[in-house]
Amino acid sequence: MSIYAQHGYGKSDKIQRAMEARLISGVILSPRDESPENLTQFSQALRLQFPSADLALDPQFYATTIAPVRDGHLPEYAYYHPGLTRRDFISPASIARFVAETLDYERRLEPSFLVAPTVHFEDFRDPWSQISLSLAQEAAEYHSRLQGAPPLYLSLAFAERALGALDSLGDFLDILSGFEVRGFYVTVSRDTSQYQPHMEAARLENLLYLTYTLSVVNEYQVVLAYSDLIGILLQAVGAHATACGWHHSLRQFSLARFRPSTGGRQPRPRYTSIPLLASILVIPELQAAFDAGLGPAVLSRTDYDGALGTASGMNAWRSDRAQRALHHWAVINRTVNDITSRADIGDRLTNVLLRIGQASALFSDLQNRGVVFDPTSGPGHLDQWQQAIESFRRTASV
Amino acid sequence: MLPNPSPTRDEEEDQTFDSTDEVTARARREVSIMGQCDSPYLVKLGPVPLTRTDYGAQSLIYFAEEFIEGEDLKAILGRQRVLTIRELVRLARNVTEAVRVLWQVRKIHRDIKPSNIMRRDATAEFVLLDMGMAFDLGDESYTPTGLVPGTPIYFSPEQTEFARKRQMDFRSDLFSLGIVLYEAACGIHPFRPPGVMSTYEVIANILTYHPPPPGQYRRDMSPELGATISRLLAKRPHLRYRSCESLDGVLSEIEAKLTGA
Repeated sequence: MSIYAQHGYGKSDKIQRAMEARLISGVILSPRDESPENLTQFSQALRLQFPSADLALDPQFYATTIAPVRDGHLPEYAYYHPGLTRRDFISPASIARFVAETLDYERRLEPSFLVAPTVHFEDFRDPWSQISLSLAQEAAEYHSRLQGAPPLYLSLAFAERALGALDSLGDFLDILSGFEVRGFYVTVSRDTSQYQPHMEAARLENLLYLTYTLSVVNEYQVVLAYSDLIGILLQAVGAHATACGWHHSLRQFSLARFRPSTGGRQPRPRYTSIPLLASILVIPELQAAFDAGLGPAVLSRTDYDGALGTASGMNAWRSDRAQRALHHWAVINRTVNDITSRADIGDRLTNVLLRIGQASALFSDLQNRGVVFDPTSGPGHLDQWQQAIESFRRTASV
Repeated sequence: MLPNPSPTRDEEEDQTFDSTDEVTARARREVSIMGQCDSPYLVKLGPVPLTRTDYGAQSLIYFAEEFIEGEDLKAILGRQRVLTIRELVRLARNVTEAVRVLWQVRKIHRDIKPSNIMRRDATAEFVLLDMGMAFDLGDESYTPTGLVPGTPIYFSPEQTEFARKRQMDFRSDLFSLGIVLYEAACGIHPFRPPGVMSTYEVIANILTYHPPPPGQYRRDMSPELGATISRLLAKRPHLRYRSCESLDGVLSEIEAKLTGA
């Protein structure tokens, strides 16, 4: 079980510090956010400094079909062809070329595993999902002909709403589970670009099902991108790794990340609390918890949050994005390690449900003492998580 | 990549056969598959190649298969109702290996059932017979549109859907193996409980009914073996086993526990 950094804009030295502190064990690189030269240098430096770390590049090929697109440095990469439409994927020769160019580029970076190109789709039965399968098939075949290449992860990028239909997901899984590859790299695009830990219970249940089926039943290594706190649940049901970054846009994926920005303000700083299983606003929520005398109960007690509770500590926390990122990784890392120390999936989920119960009780205490929470902070997601887990357990008999 | 099988001697020798004749085509396919697959758990070709002859007004085709001294599983179960647990695990491993070898050349047997499985007297190993229904995913179909070949009460759920024929893979055979194992373990067909039941009702059960765990009928069966058989009977291919190697790994552990290894 691993936590990866989801690389993006403004990396500074966060990734190196997190690796040194063993908070993360790998990184998923984002070509959109670095020039090819910088990305190569960065990956080489990481490889030298942390030879055992997992290093992979998400080719973000799905951006080729987004229009209008805000694709950053992607056009500087030879494998990337902006403005593709469905017609561009009709010819098997084109699909073969897209796959070969992408995987060949990735190989030059000497990653721990290759991530196949894919396209984004809205539904497991729509035409784009079939194109996604064609790319996967071609990638598996191309990879099988390569000598000495790193293992291949097929890539999926789909809308959260696709998870609403279990039947079509089941058909899709029947096909996916036939591929002879090492694993899958899964990106779920959320309905909103706003930060929110919520996910409709039925959709979350099916995401758990997808993860469990591919990883535990079919023995693939499954990496879920942009996962944030939901990654804790996904690792409990067998995910090999979840990736999470420092911005909110690196903790949950939205196509808005690749669309022209209409502006907006900086998100308000948050604090990730293990006892609450939530990221709450530093001001006013965490401050209010301290004012209500429950601050210590909310703290995660990582190496990074010791000064919270004092005015200077609060101010430092709000201004130090790196510290918040390291703390966030530390929280997920510790929680995931604790939960996955149990081998049995059922035992893990029992533990997660226990934590959800405790978090709900703490939220109630805080609310009873007058602490008001923004809907994006909680505790609404806890009910959804509980429902999803209980329903998943019945479906999967775990 | 999969090996690209070259024509067998028999294929090359019978170029005069009319390939549009369904019976001949199936025989050719059976001979071809037997020529491509080398496994002690798959019946082999005998000394007589595929031959066509006229007998009076009839046209006959024939070929020889390996002679197996033994008894088919249907007869065994008819006599002793169930297998011992050791025999059951051996049956599971032998047929799994046969399915694996077939899938290496992208073939699905499609008709795994007790009467198509022989037990050799000499070694007590099981051998899968009758490649006539086997299907090559890349080959043409010899079955008229809308018809589904095989024995319906041993069908996998996906085998009942003609439209999904080309999406089927070895996991369909694993489902049929699950039915055979359940029957050999419990003495009853998992989707045809005692009592008269039509083929259509059995197929409906295959699609929707979840049989009780086999351990309910066999107290001497380990939970692991019971769970393995139940998993083979999962309605969805993605809930069975991803590979025959994976299934065999589980079975070999079960066998090791039985033998105390």
